[in-house]
Amino acid sequence: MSNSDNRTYWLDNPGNVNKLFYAVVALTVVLAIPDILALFHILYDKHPKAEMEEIPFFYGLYAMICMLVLLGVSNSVSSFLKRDEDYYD
Amino acid sequence: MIEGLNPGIILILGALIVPLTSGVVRGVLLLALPVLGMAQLLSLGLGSWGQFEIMGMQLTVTHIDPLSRVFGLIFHVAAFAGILYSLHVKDTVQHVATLIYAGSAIGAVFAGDLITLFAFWEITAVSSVFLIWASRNEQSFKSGIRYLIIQVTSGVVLLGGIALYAADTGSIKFETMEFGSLATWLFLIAFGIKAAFPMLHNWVQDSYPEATVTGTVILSAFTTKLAIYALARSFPGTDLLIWIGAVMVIFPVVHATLENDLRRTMAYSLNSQQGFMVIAIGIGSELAINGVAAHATISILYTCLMFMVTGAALYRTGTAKVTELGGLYKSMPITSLFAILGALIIIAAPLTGAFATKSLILSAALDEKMILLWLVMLFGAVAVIDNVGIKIPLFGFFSKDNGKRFQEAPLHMLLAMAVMAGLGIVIGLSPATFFALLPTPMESHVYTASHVVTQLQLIAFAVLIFALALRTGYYPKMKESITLDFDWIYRKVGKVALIRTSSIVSELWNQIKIFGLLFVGWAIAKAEKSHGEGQAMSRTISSGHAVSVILILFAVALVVIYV
Repeated sequence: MSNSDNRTYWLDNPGNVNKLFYAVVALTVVLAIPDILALFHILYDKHPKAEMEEIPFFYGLYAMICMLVLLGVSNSVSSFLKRDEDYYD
Repeated sequence: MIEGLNPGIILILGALIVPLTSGVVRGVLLLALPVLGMAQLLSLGLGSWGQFEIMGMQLTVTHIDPLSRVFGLIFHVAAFAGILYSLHVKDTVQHVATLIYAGSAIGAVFAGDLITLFAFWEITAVSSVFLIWASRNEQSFKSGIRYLIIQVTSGVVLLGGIALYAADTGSIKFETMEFGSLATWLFLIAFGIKAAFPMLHNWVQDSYPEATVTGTVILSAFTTKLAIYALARSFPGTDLLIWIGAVMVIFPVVHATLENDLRRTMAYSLNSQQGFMVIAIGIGSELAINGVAAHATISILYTCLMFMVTGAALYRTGTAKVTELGGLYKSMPITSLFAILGALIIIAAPLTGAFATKSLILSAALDEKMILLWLVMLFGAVAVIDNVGIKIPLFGFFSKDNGKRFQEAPLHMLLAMAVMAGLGIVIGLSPATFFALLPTPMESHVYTASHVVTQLQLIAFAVLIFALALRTGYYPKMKESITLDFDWIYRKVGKVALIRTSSIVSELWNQIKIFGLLFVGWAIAKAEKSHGEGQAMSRTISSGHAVSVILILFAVALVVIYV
């Protein structure tokens, strides 16, 4: 182990972290486009096996719902389930 | 190569030579053994060998079919990469345990009958515990004991099942069984313990994070996947497994989200991924079983890889806890890169293996119109994006710099990571080649536009919510703490109940003893009253009196006999 170096890394700049966040937002927008095209059958068609898949942006919406449920449940049970590290000792 | 020799036995016998070697020779031997095993496996092709009869039972020591071959191949790869990862270790116990453990897992996969399976099944349990104990601290010792009790229980239950099954059917062949009899229930429990079924699962999260840096990598590859193989062999199409699998997918993910220790996070995630395979076994169609074999393979690749990167962090920094790690990407850039690659594989990003294999299982569910189940699995797929996909690289390697600097992981560790990551990606690039190894030949179109788009949507939107939760502070804070799980029942409630019961029993015993003493005292006092010194029964009398008494007795006897 050595002491901290003085090099500044790209991620050390909060502005760049923001850039990454906006990149993710932009990516989600780009990935929503095919679903819009599919509504008008332009260039891209869905091949749904389940009826649900026909809902526009189904995968994106479902992913967001799942994440919110997961984080919501995790937050709500956290205080109930968390114990000190030496709990069993 | 020796005709019909079970490849696992090569590793087990090789392990016995290991203590006689040292230095470079040992390194070469360790690496050569899995390669030899693999060569043996490939040279044998498909078929059965080593059949003989013992006490009226037909044993088949080596049986290779397409299903067992897939598991055997990946087990050899995992053994090789695991050993490569642990080349720096100078601990003979760990070397021998690793080889015997990997060898017996391979041996079990190629077992053609249940007795052979049982033998290897037990050897995996006993050999693997040394990888936990090798941490050589009190925590790992206790955890290893719990691990051993649970693993050996699985073996005992299996043996009970075999005895009943042989009595019921007269066969000990390891093959597809009709689920329902007591024997098959015992099999399900025995396999279920090792597969980490809900409520039988705690040994995974308890012991894997307590094993050594390298031990965890080895452990993560074999036991749980061996159980998946055994289930796929015995109970394809058993409906019960679908629901067990669904619970398995869902339950561990909350713990994985809350967990501070990255290796324990991985252990929970591994458990959730097991659920996918258990569901597919329950569905049991040809596509589903192909999915099991394929996903087990990829799962071993990415699980080992993630345990390798978290292990490397632990090796260099002495901790694998989110709260203690910071800015590790600055010190360990290559390991961090592998963490990202592993994350991409585990979240099933296009061009990685899991993108191809997870979709087999999801399609199998949709083919059977199991929509609810499909939604459960999609939930699991999203959860793993959070639990491992983002959490491990971000919190483990790209978190806020804490100013500490370390060395990059040793070269052999990086090479081992490269083997796993490389295979995970190669399979993703050309899934058809890999699918040719699966039990049933099939046509697959992995890279359709809609599959790529939908999967990318799933990932990107999950990442978006993750990022938003992090920015708004909604994401659960990582704390230096543990999260209670089902083992609380036996480690806390069970322990307290046992201590209470034993104190009640000992109190009761004390009371009985006190009562007994009182009774004896009372009896002695009573006796003293009649027989004590100077009392009626202890008085001395003259010999004349005595003779008269005897004469009277004689007279009475005479009268009784002759009258």
